[in-house]
Amino acid sequence: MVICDASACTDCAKCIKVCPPNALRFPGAVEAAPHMLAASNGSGPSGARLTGGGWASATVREIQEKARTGKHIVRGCGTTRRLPTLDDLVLLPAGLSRMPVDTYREAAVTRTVLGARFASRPLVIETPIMVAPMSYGAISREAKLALAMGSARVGTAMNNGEGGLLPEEVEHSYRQIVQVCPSRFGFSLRNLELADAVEIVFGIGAKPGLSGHLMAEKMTAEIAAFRGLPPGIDLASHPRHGDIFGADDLMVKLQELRQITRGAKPIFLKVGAGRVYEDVKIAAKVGVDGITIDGMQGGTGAGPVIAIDHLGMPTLAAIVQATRALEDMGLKDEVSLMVSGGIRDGADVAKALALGADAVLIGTGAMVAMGCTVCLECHKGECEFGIGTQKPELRERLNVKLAAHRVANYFTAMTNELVILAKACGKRDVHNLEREDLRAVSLEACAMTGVPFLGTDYTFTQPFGFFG
Amino acid sequence: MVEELDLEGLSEAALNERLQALAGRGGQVVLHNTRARHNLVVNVSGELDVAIQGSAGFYCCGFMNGPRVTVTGNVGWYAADNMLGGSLTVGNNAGSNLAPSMIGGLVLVHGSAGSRVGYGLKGGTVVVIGNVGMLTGQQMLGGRIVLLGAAGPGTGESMYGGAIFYRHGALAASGTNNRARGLEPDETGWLAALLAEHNLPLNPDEFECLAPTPGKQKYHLFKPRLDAREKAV
Ligand SMILES: Cc1cc2nc3c(=O)[nH]c(=O)nc-3n(C[C@H](O)[C@H](O)[C@H](O)COP(=O)(O)O)c2cc1C
Ligand code: SF4
Repeated sequence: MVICDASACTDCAKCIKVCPPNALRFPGAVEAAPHMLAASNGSGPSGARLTGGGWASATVREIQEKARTGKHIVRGCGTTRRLPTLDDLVLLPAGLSRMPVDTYREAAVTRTVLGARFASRPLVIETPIMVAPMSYGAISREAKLALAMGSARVGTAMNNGEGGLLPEEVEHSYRQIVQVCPSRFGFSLRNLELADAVEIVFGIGAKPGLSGHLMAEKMTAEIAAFRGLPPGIDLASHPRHGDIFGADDLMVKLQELRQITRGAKPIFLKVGAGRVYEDVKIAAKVGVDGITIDGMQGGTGAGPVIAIDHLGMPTLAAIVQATRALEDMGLKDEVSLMVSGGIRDGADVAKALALGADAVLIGTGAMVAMGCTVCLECHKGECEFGIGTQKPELRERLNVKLAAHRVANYFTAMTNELVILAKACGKRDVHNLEREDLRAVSLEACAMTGVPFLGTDYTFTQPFGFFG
Repeated sequence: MVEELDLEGLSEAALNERLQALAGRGGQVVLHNTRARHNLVVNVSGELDVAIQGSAGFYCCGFMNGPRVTVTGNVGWYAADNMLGGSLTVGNNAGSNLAPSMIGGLVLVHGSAGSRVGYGLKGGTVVVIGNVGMLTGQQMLGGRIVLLGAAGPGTGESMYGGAIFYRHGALAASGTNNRARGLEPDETGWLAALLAEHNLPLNPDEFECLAPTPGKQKYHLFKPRLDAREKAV
């Protein structure tokens, strides 16, 4: 057995990465919810290291760090809390009541059209899986390029993120979504001209209600110049759009953006999952073409742990709330619904689509495809895989072509999985997956979604459409 | 040649297209019956003089690049948002959030302006002859703001770049992450020229300036205000 000298261990996790049989575990991942463990006096998930008094050692370490620095703790990636996920649902396959579609021989529709509500040139992509916006700054130029190239190979969209629009990203992407972020770093009329679709950002799922963070380690001269900032600062970017201070203004702003894009380009709105029902209703009412809801499990380059773990709503519940809002307005078929936050495989995509999403976005998963190990240290800018870093010697390590190939493979495999599941449910078009295809395997998921508990046709909370 | 346009019955989109068609020829356009409508002179680029007879609503001159626009009345919130070049001169007052994320050009307000003038300003110059509300220049990245009247609290909050010029004693309170300093010689010359160009009878000596504090920024989270109290014996 390995003995860890806790006083000497720096939590670098290198031993975990090199351990051939994966016998070591990463503390952050194991001690998923240290505060919960502490609160329950250690009766949390097995495997968590507890100290004498039943306090999780991660909690103890966090307190020690806060006591040392007097600061809240910042880290990268999404929450490590155990929250209900799409895994808490299963799909009901076809049998006699409905016939399956031949898995390997019949064609299936994956083509996805987004933003056709008002835009004369909606976004048409070949798979309902897109690359989530990850800013140039949070990730390297090479990683951005690989994502653009990889997503282009499968005919899907790339989204630039907060840190400006790299020329090589636009050049290599198949379809380019351009964000209008509160900070407007690297943003100008030109970005709108180059966009295939525009996305106004009101927050992300990992830290809804907070602005973008980019720690000094990544604020190199190059990144700072691209954003128009002084180098070396810890950035907490603009919290609100200087030109949108409320829903009424947003309505007028949309008219402005529509004039600029000549009514051709879809205009989406992204918001972190919080008061999803209300937010979606407002967004639909003011006239966007599509809404992205980013659930609580969504990733980030950096954010306060307290926000990452305690703000927001899990993706599972958020999709239902968003679908419900659009249905209540009679706009479900008009306004595109896109979802992100913790989507990892074709099953997640299939279930999200069945719950009402038209497409999903993948952030962390796409980074993992390029080599990321979700080390939670993205804020430090020391990524040994050349992804979450701006250091030239580390960036060099990312083989752009190989990373692009892997992103394309991952998206292809995931779309294949989606097709397999859709066909097994008797659907030729992945967009025909519906909530009636779903059952909940946990009471929590049943309560949260209104999807009946497995083996029943009943739900004990607010019903969700078909079962209402 | 001066073209007179009556906005009655004309949509903003149609107006802006018309202006764009005229831009680049160096002509003059007078807009009547604007009735404080939103999105006037949006995304128009090229040489053009536009005179708005009356007031404009939100987002006047948004994303504009080149025209010289004068408004005899007021402009609503967010005038000159994301503007790239040209000028906007407002005869009366401007609403809040004047020139947000503006990249270039000149905005001159003869009256007063609301809060958050130059929020996230990136470049160009904003001049307000009257008073301004709070948080002028919040998180501005560049550009220059010149305040001739009084300024509310939080001026220059968390500026990253650029400079805010104000008259001695005119700030209610400055925000964090900035410092007051005297004008540098090139700034004195620039300000003198600006004041002269716009017939503003003031001397640069009357001004000082807020600039960003170098290094990492400080944030408002928790700062106990400890009042002295008598300790129980
Ligand atoms: C490194 C990184 C940088 C990000 N930067 C942005 C950004 O600039 N703008 C934005 O809207 N979301 C940003 N996000 C959030 C993602 O777009 C997306 O909402 C989230 O990652 C989805 O969850 P997932 O990572 O579980 O797939 C970022 C996420 C990561 C991991
Ligand atoms: S492996 Fe790299 S990209 Fe992934 S979380 Fe860690 S630092 Fe970020």
